[in-house]
This record gives sequence, C-alpha cells and structure tokens, in this order.
Amino acid sequence: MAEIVLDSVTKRYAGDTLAVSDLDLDIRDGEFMVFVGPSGCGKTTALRMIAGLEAITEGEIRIGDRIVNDVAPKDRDIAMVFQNYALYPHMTVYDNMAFGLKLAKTDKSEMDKRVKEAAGILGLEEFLNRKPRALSGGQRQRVAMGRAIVRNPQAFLMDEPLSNLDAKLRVQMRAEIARIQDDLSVTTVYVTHDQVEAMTMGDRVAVIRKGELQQVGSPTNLFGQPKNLFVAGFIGSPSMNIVASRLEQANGSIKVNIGGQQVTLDDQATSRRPDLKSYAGKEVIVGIRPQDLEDASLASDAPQHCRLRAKVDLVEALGTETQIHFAVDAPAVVTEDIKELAADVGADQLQRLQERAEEGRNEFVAQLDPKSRVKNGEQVELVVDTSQMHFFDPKTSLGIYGDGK
Amino acid sequence: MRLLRHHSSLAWPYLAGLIVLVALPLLGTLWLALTEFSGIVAPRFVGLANFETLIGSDRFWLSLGNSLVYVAIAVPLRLLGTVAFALLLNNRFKGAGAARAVAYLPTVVPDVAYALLWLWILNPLYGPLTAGLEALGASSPGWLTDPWAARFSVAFMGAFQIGEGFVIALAARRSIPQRLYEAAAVDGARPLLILRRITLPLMAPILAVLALRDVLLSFHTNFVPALIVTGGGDPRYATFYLPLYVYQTGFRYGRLGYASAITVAIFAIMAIILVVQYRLLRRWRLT
Amino acid sequence: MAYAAERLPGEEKKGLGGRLSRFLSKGPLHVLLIGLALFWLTPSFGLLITSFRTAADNSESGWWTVFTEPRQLTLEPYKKILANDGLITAIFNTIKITLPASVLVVLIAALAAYAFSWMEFKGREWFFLFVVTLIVVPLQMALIPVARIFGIVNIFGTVTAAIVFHIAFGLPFAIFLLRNFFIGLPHELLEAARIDGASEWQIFARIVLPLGMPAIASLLIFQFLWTWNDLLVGLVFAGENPPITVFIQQQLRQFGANLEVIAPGAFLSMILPLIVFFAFQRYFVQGLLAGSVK
Repeated sequence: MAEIVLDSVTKRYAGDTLAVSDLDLDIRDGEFMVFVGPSGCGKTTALRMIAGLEAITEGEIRIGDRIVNDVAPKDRDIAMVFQNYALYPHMTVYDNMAFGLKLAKTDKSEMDKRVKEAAGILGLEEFLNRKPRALSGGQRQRVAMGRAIVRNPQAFLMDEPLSNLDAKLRVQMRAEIARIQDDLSVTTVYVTHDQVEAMTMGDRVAVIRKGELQQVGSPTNLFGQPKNLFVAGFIGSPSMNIVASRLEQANGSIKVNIGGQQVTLDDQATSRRPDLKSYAGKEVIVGIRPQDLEDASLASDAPQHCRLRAKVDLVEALGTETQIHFAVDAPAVVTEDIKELAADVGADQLQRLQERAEEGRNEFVAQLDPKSRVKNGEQVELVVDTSQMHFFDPKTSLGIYGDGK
Repeated sequence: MRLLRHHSSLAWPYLAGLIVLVALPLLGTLWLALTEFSGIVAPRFVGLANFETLIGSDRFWLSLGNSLVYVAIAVPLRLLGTVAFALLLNNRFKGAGAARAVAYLPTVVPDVAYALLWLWILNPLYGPLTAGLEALGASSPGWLTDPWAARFSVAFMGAFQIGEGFVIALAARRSIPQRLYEAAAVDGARPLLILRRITLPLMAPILAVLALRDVLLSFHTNFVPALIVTGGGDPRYATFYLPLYVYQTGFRYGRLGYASAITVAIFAIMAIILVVQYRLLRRWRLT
Repeated sequence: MAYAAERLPGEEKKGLGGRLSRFLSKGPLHVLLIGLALFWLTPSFGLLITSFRTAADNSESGWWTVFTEPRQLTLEPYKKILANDGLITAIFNTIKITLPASVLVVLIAALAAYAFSWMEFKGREWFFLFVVTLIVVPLQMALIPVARIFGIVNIFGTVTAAIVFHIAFGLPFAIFLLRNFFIGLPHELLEAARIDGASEWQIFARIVLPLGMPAIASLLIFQFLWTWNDLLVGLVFAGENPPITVFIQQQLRQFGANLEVIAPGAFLSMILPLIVFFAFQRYFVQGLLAGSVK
C-alpha cells in the first residue's frame, strides 16, 4: 500500500501533441481516486504513465517512496484492470488470475490460496476452470478484478473497467468495486468518462480537460463549488443550466437577470460569494442545477423574488422525479469549455448549441418533485434555490467565489 | 516506449540473414549482369554487352513472347477458377469441407509429379483427352506437338493449382458481413445483382492483390511444366519460357553473366507490368 | 463466424412442392460440384493408378483401362522402387531439407514478427518495409550469386545449401504474415502480461505463441508444402544430394519414359504432402480464415 505522487508530469507525443500537461496530484494511501473527463482528455494516458506502459516526457511519478519513471511496469508493484479486461483467452479463469503469481514464482500453495480467496470475494469459485470465452461480460469483469486482487499490489489502476457492461450491470459492479476497494483499502486510480461513476465511487475526483487538471476534490466539493465552467458543466446529471446574464445592484441586494426575469439573491447567497459584489452591473455567466429548481405550486412558502416563469416544452416523468424542459429568452453561452462539453455529447449537440446561441434562446432543464402536475405546453412557475446558484466570470470561465482572489 | 528500446538486437539476426541471402544476391545479380562469367574464372566486366546481345537475341524475344502468352492465358483462367471456387464453396452444405479439400488438392501435389500426370493425360497415342475426343468423333490436335495447343495445355495445367488463392479469396468472401446480404434480400435484389453489386466489389481489393501476385508467379511457375511436359520448350520452342531460358543459359551452358542479364530483364519487365496493372486496377476501382 | 447460412430469407418454401422445387434448384449445383470435384481429382487419381501398373501396361494403354481390366493392378512397381537406393535416399534428402527448413522459417519468423509488432526500436518501420519489399524478389534473381556464396563457404550441392536458401526466401512472407496476425492481437493483452511481470521472452512464449497458433500452424503447413514440392532450388543447390522431386526429374532425363520408377516415385513424393494436407486441412483453411474474420 502506498501513496502515488504525480509531480509536474507531462506527456508529449511526437509532433508536439500534448497529451498530459504539468499534472500535479497527490493520491493518498488507500484512497480511491477517479480521473474523469471527456474522451481524449489525457486521463488514460496519465493512468498508463503511472502503470509504466507509457513513458513520461517530463516530471516525476512516485509510488510509495520510490521514483518510478524508469521502472518497468512489472517492477512497479501495481495491478491494472483494462477496459476490455485483457483476459488471456487461452487460459482458464484460474490461470488468468494465477499468471502473475506464477511468473513471480510464488509458492504453489500460497498461489492457490490467494486465487481461491479472490475467487471467493468475487463469487467466481465455480468458474475457475472455464475459459474467458465461456463467461458473461460481468463475469469477465470480475476475473479482471480477481487478477488484480491476487497480486496484492501497492495500487490498483483501472481503465474504464465498466464501460463494456450494460447499464444495470454497471451499477451493480460499481458498488461492488467500491466495496472491494474499501475492504482491501488499496490505493486505487480509476479512469472513467462517466461522471456518475466518478461521483459515486471516488473518494476524490480529478477532472481533466485537454491534458490539464481542472479541479481535484471530493464529489460534494466538485458538485457544490466547481472551480470553473468546465467542471460545472461536466459534473452533475442532467447537466447544469448555463446562461449569460447581468447582475444589477438595487436596495443593497443583487438581482440576476435571466432572460428578462429578475431573481434576487438572498443574503446567504451573496455572503457565500463575497466577490459577487464587484460584478454588479457587469456581465456574468449564471449556472443553475436542474435540482435547484422546483415547481412553485409545491413550494408555496418560497419567496416571490426567486421565481421564474416559463412555458413547458417537454415533460419527462421518471417516477422518482419529473424533468421538464423549457426555453429561456437569453442567449446560450458558447465558450470553449461549453463547446467541448457539447462536442463530447455528440456533434449534433454542438450544432444545436450554436443555433440556440444565434437565436438568443436557451433550453433549461428542471428536476421537479414527482408530485408536480405540470403538463406539456403549460405555463409553469419555478422556484430557484438562489443559495445554490453558480456564477462564473465570462472572460476567465472561473467560478466567482470568495475573498478577493 | 523508452522502457523497451534496448530490444532492437532481437530483430537483427534475421535482417542480417535476409541481407546476405536475399538483398545482396539481388545486387549481385545486377552486377553479374554486367559481366562475362562462367563460374570458373573471375567475372570480367563487360558493361552493357550482355543486354545488347539480349536485345539482338531471337531466343530472348521468343521466350518473352511465350511467357507473355502464358501469363495472358493462365492468369485469367486461374483467377476465374479462384473466384468461382471461393463463391461456390463458401456456402454451407453437406460435404463442403471435403469439396474445399478437393479444390486445394492439386496444389499439394509436387509440381514434378503433377507435370507427369499431364504428360500422360496429353499423350497423343493413348491419352484420355485424345481418346475422349475421338470417341465423340472429333479429331484432337497433337496436344504437345501443335504449338498453340501446347501453349494452351501448359497454361491449362496451371489453372488447377490455385489452392492458396482459393483460401485467400474464401477468407475475403467470408469477411463480407452477412447483414449486407440480408439487407439486399430485404431490398429484393436478385442473385446476379448481389454478385455484381455486393460480393465482387467488396472482394475486389483482395482480388486485385491476388491478380498482381498471380502475374508475378506466372512468370516462374511454368518452369517445371516446360522442363518436363514439353521436354524443354517443344514443340518448336512454343513453350520455351523465360525461366527455362535462364536455367539453360546459366546452369547448362555456364553463361552466368548472360543468365543474370536475362534475369534482370525479366525483373524489369515484371516491374513494368505490375506498375501498369496496379495503375489500371486503381483507376478501375476509383470509377 | 461470419458464415451463417447463405440462403436468403423468404427463399424458404414449405410443403412437398416447395421441397421438390428446392431440390431441383439445388440439384444442378450439386451435380456441378460433384462433376467438378471428379474432374479436379482425375489427374491425381490417375497417377495413383498408374503407379500400380507395370511399365509395359503403362506404355501400351492409359491408366483408365484398369476399370475394364482390373488385374493390371500390381504391387510390382513399389517393390522395385523400394529396392531402389537412389529413390530412398532422395526421399530422405527431401525430409532432411523440408523439416528444418519449414520449422526454422516459422520459428525465426515468429520471433521476428513479434519484434516487429510489439517492440519499439529505432527504424522498426523501415526494417519492416525492407522485409516486405523482399517478398516480391523472385528467388531466381538470387540464384547465381547465392550459388557463389555457397561455393565459397563450401556447402554448394549439399542439403544444407537448400535449407539455408529455403529459409532465406521463406522468411519475408512468413514474417509479413505472422506480423499481420500478431499485430491484430489486442495490445492490452501484452500490457496486462507486462504488468503481471512477464519478460519479453515470457510474453512471446506464453501469450503470443499460443494465441498465434492458428496462423503459425497454417504457415508451417504452407511452408512444408512449398519446400517439399520445390524443384528449382533443389535442382540448383542440392544437385549432388537430390531431393525426390529432383530425382524424378533426373530419371526422366536419363531414361526417357522410365515410368516404372517415375510413377511410384511421383506418387511417393505426393503421399506425405497429401497426408499432411488431409490431417491438417481443417487447421489451415480455418486458421487463415480465423486470422481474417476474427
């Protein structure tokens, strides 16, 4: 067991493509650290550098108290779980798990004990003599886990290990991996592009974009205090509603203009973000999470000054919640971050974003209590939880928070 | 990967072997082509004299013409057979495995033995071909005595040994996704249209490679039949092919320098044909 | 595998009429196939029969006359040639050439292909391009200079000379084929093995070699057949220790139609390749297909 330290780690490919740039990260002993970001952001490259499968261009990686830059993967005392599991197709489940131990010339009875133990943890006892071909996707995933566990390494490295499973199995394995990691308390680095996975599994999550670390923190921290627009947009599902706005100061309180409607911030909201005052009379970018909007008819005691009215375009009743989509007459924000986030969803998403920006229209999503009786095409009044509103500087894309910085 | 760079030594022994036994001899042949060399005394540089002799030599032009005729007959025949077998035997039916084995079988037979078989089949006195034709009331040409009949006979022999191409074409056919055929069936396409619009176009890249390879091979594969079936190029030099010419010049008459010059000439001609063929195939595939 | 039934949906007809029309539509195909198979097999079968007839019979009539006169069949020719030292030696020469030549080509090519597909070293792409280029060099292009080299190192005319030449000219294609197969293996497998602590040699022996078996097996069979069937290389390099193909060709030249020796000799020369072929045909057709279809 060990901590993993990345010290100004950079990966540059031939032709000067920067895959990872100046990455600083302290992964604590026993911690579950998740790297998350859109595809191609460099998170897998970072993981592969820790594994030793990819050379480090600049900087230093330490595992435990050892600098491993020039240490071969096999001597780093790590285990890796690959996206496609990389099970040896010609070996049985038992041999797959025992392969590393065999190569290390582990004592036979010890090896047997460890493989059986891992198989027990993962519920693979009855499949030990099967070949990977004869296993289901979930079982293969377990074998890949087992192969990592038996080695009893200093660290687990996992590269999108659940992305080949169907949704239901993914949720189940998510919990299982988290539980196993918790039991063994082995330092783990887990790469995923799925922010839900990141949020549910990680002790801490590192959001990476274009090879650069955006923010590291606990899931709550990332969700509540995103450092910039990119993190704000990437974390959370459905994603944050983002809109260009203007702050006005009147009677000592700050008013936010959202598509022609005024929302007044209460003292709690302003006191949490002292810097906000200096933006009075200026353009800002406002973010409202769908979870922070509620059907006003279900919250009649909410103050009048934090309400939005809108015409409902689409209602999606999910049972546990009801999502509504509605238009806001304010231009969509199109910054590099936002474009990248849209592009990660798909090319047509990016195009829709640009169209909306030109039309000066923005589509919002609200997540309402299922008791809400809102119907398609109706007018609805929504309450905004102003204490949870997010503000960003339109020039720097950085979140507007506290003490003058 | 920096961590593994020191392993380059692993590839070197083979490369050294290839250089000594393949690449250098290639250059050696180019050099010998410019010399007079009997194998006994050291080669004497004669410049382009060998090539001048070559251009003036009737036997060279004769053997070149014969070789081209062979390629022109054998390659289309072989390709046709290859594709036909690949498509026919791709289907699943009882005995398909055995049928594939049968298709491959002539390729397994050593060329020498195979040539002997044909020697008997084409026998003018009691050969089955002659006997069969006579039974039908037709007269048969002297298969090995009439120049054109002999040329066709030798090319025809080659058409049986297509096992490797057959396997490759079969693989190409199988790599066409089944759903394309399902889609075509839903669209109501008829078998011929499917063949023309789906199967052949999708196999075309592989078939093109096969055609190139076959042309290359066909400049050499007629060596054994010409040596055995037509007894060294008979009748009247109708089956006197380039490889036989090289072999006789170099190893029978010991004119190694001149033989090298013929080899170089063959290589050059092959290269030209391949380039032309490659160009044509590319253009054909683009339009 | 990608070869589910070829028959298109909707073509299936039910009932007696349907079955009848289906038989009729499939019938010609089957007749065609059977006819073709017979036609295809005739030469090989003819050789077999010829080898069981006496020289006198063979010079008087064709082998198909045994169907009317079965008593022509005799073991005499085989008895004679099994007493023929030259032929026995020739068969052993062929084995001495073919076994090492095919096994070594495959072994060396597998190692080289591994290096070319999974190891990083300077100039790797260029080396590989060089190897691929050599595929198109016809072996005739190298005969004369190599004969000189062999003369200098004093192995001209020996079995060794033929082996070395076969290996040299087998390698480029073998490396090319295996490299293409190896490079198709998921690289995560090798990475997993690296992390599991395997050395390059262990990865090769325990991961790549077993997984590459279909391609390696088919290459081995191909190489075996090519080497066994070769005439030219044996003729030029191993003339003093002729393999069976050269021996037959020499008989032909020396004694005219020396069919008594030649027919059974030719058939003996066919037997081993045929056995290899039928024993492994499933492997090498399927092996090649597996490589291309996955």
